[in-house]
Amino acid sequence: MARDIITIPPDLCRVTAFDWDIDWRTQPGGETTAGNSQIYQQGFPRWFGNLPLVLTPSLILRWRAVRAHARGRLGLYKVTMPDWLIGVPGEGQPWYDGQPWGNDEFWESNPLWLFAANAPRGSSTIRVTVPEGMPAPQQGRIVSHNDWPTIITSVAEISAQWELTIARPLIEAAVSGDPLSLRPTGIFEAISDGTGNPAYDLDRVARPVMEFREYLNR
Amino acid sequence: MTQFDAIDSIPGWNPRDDGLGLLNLVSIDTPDGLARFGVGYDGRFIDANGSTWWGLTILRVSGMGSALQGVAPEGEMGLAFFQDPDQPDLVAQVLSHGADYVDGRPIRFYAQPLRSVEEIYAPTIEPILIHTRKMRTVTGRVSGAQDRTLSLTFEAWSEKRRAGRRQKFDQAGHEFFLGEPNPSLEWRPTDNREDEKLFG
Repeated sequence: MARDIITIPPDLCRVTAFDWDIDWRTQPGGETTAGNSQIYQQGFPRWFGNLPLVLTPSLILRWRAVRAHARGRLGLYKVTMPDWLIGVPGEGQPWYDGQPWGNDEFWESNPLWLFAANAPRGSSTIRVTVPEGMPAPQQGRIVSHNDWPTIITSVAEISAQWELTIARPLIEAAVSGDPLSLRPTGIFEAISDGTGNPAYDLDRVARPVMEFREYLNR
Repeated sequence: MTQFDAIDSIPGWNPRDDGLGLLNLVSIDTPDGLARFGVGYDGRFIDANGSTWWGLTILRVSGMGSALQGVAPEGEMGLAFFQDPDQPDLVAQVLSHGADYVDGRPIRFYAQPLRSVEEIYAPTIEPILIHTRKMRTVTGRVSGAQDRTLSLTFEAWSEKRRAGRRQKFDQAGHEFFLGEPNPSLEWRPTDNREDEKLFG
């Protein structure tokens, strides 16, 4: 069965809390009587996160449409993971969030850095250049490459380039000049069919929480 | 060198480390080529030789013993899933290949050691062969409207142990041993009762 990818419009991703995290898929091997313990990693790290939303009546209708389009767990969601602790250029400006232009074409800002060198699959150290007007790299920022988000763990400026280490290595090889998106996006699937239901009460405001986990089989 | 020596001889990776990375892999040898899967996790694993292993969270492999003490441990690999009503029936598709499709062909179980998180995506060690078993049957189970199970059973290399040739302590066995008939064992004791003394 085809699993459509549904892009959640960025203005619908205006969430009230942030809890994105990487599940590293480790298991405890148990503690021995001598007090030794063992950590056992089996499986690919993946992201987990919730979208707690506050939706007014017009947004409820849009959210209902997006969620119904995905048909429960079947559809895949392309989700923007906004982080208010680190702003990105263009935030709050017109068309930042995907509003339509006069010709009904949607447009959204996509701030980025550029890869300065080729990086194969599995690289955890990458080199980027920062285009004019873009913020300098910073530890802890979430970035994404080809919809695979990761976290920057260290930055160092080396002769007009930046050397970054990232927590989850690159999953797709990047060539020099590829964009590294500062508005991270990932491909997620819903944890259950009923999650994120925009139920409302007399006040006609819905407060659904959509639970996501990353989709890795691609 | 056994597979366990191979596991012990990887530089930088020790199965007794307190932080251990390991992926379970299985490959099925069919007339249409090798099918490669990861057992119990999702994601696409590309090994050091460039082969792709698709992770399957719904794949389960039964526990496997070693062929010790005359035991021929058999095992089963199961795939439990919900049939998509819009798609062709997967159980029927698999079973349409017939019994000979897997019978007698090898199923191989590998362990992929990981020295770092980077090696999940760019491994440098080849997968290590742990077990090879002989596949015997594929069975499908249908329960309810959409609930389906496919099982693949496999046998150990020692499966014919119980049918092994052996010599019995009787006249036929004695004759086989000596190469000529000999009546010595005609009145051999066959139980421990000694109501009547045999000698003296």
